[in-house]
Amino acid sequence: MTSRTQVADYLADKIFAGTNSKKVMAEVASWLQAHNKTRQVNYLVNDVARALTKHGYYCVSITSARELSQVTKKQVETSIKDMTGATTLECTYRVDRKLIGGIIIKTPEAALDASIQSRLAKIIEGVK
Amino acid sequence: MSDLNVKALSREIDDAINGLKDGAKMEQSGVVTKVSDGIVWIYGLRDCGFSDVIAIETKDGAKVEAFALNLYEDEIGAVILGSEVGVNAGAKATLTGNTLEVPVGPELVGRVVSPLGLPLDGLGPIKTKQMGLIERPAPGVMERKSVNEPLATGIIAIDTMVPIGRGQRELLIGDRQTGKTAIAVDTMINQARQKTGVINVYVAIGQKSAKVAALVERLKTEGVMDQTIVVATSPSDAASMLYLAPYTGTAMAEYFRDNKQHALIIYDDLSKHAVAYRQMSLLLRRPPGREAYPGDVFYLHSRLLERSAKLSDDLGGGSLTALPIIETQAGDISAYIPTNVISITDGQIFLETNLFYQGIRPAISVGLSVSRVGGAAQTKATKSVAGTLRLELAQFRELASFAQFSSDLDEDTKNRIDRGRLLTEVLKQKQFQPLSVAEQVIAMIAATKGALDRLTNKDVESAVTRVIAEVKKSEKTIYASLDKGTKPEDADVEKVVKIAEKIAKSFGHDKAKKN
Repeated sequence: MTSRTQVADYLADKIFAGTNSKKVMAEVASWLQAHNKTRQVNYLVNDVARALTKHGYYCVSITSARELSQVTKKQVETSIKDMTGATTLECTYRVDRKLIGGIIIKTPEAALDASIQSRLAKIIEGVK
Repeated sequence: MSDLNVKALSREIDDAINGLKDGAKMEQSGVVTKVSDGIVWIYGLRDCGFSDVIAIETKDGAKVEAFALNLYEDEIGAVILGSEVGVNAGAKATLTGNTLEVPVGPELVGRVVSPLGLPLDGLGPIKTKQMGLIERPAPGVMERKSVNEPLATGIIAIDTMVPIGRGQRELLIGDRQTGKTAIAVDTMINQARQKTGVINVYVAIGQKSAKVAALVERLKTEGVMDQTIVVATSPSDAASMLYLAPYTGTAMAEYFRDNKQHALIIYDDLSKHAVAYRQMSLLLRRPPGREAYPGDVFYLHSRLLERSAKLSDDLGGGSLTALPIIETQAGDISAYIPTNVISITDGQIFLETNLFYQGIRPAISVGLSVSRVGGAAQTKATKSVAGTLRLELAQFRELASFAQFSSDLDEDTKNRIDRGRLLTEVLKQKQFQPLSVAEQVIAMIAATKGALDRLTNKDVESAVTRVIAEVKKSEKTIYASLDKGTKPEDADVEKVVKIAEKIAKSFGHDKAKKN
């Protein structure tokens, strides 16, 4: 049986090759329907994002406590490229005041939590 | 107060902050998609390996650990270690980078611990210097040596007829309430009484807490706890804990095996272990096989028991002896799990309900019990008296059932039945009273050489006790020599027989009067 990962690999290859046609989408939709996995669309999208990393294409979510300046964004993107080896980044920036400070970077396969919120949590855990 | 140094304190805090700055790094993360009955399904964590430990964040920020058992392309099935309270769908899951490990070492001796190595006896934390992998490959062919040293159980019927050697796996099998645990406990007690230096590891798998508590108390009373580790799980523990318990116990016992020492491990019992694994496997949606057990239930026990071994001299010659226990239903040893474990082990001691209720305790079935390798480890002293014992008893049981239909028996048959009755009496032994090698040999000489033939069944026990006491008192050299396992000289045997005959006469029976 074809797995969701295999379907995601197939879809990622098509997207990267620029053949993201309606036909391909229809194929994927019918596979989801046939295997009763229509509620796993989000997972499939994540799987596709992960499959695209093989081609150097990284879909990244960046959360910070405050709006980042263009210069900082540029610095963050450069360091993400250095860390992951990505050639192309698709960045989504979010602001979350709960972080207090610092930054959280999520790639399809990994996460870097350098927020003040998590550091404080670690300190509290250490004190316990 | 003179130790207080504010400047140093400030520096320590600065160092801690710097440490935190360096702490953030990219780590693989996944998401819990489903939680049910102690099982979590996780999306992501593609680098996760089999048996890797996963940390799951709960709602209140605490972390619950699970270990991965099902690695599919799209998701991971993991079993939560402990309670699933607080774990919800959507929780973040990360790899800890560890496979399952437990503390090992001499610091654990005398303690009661959980399958994760945490103390359960209220005696404070256990600080060991080493950790041991719960799942470890068994020693290979070249790392082993044939079983050649006896592991005395102190139970005369076992040490003479189904002897156990150090490094052997001997199964204790029988219905409920037939004395399986009693044999295991007596064996542990004997290690302390005979000062063998063998470390006992008792693994209680899903045993009632009250039973474990009583057992620990008994071990303390007998002075055995000082060389014993108890790994305890109760029926209220999660199936994952029951599953881990024997592997944990083995990891702890292996420490002694690998450090030139001898250890004895008791798995009480592997039937419950198989049931716990079946529960986990069914919840992980693995296909059920015979009796709904998963396909790898044989491997579950074979890989566990294969870790019990006698190591080669190059590796220190340490040993790990295993006494797994299996509970049968209505004496059916042909069920799935019993046949599996029988085929894995180096022999089995089968306990029969009928014998137990006839008062023959330990209720060992001579016909169905066997030790495949222990004979090589039997002491010469025991071997000299055990020769035809099994055969004589087997013949007696056969003839005894035949004799029920006929009162007209020839002399030879009568003699065999009488001797069988006597031997059965001599082999009866009360719980918590293991006998030394010398005591066993003296009892067997007295019984097999005909010295006690005139006694009634009820007098046999006290006569044997008196014979042992008398030999111990008046023939110290013989007693010491027998205790070392040396084969008795004919003259020594003669002396023991004379003492036995004298004591038998004092009971005042002129001829055979059997009950």
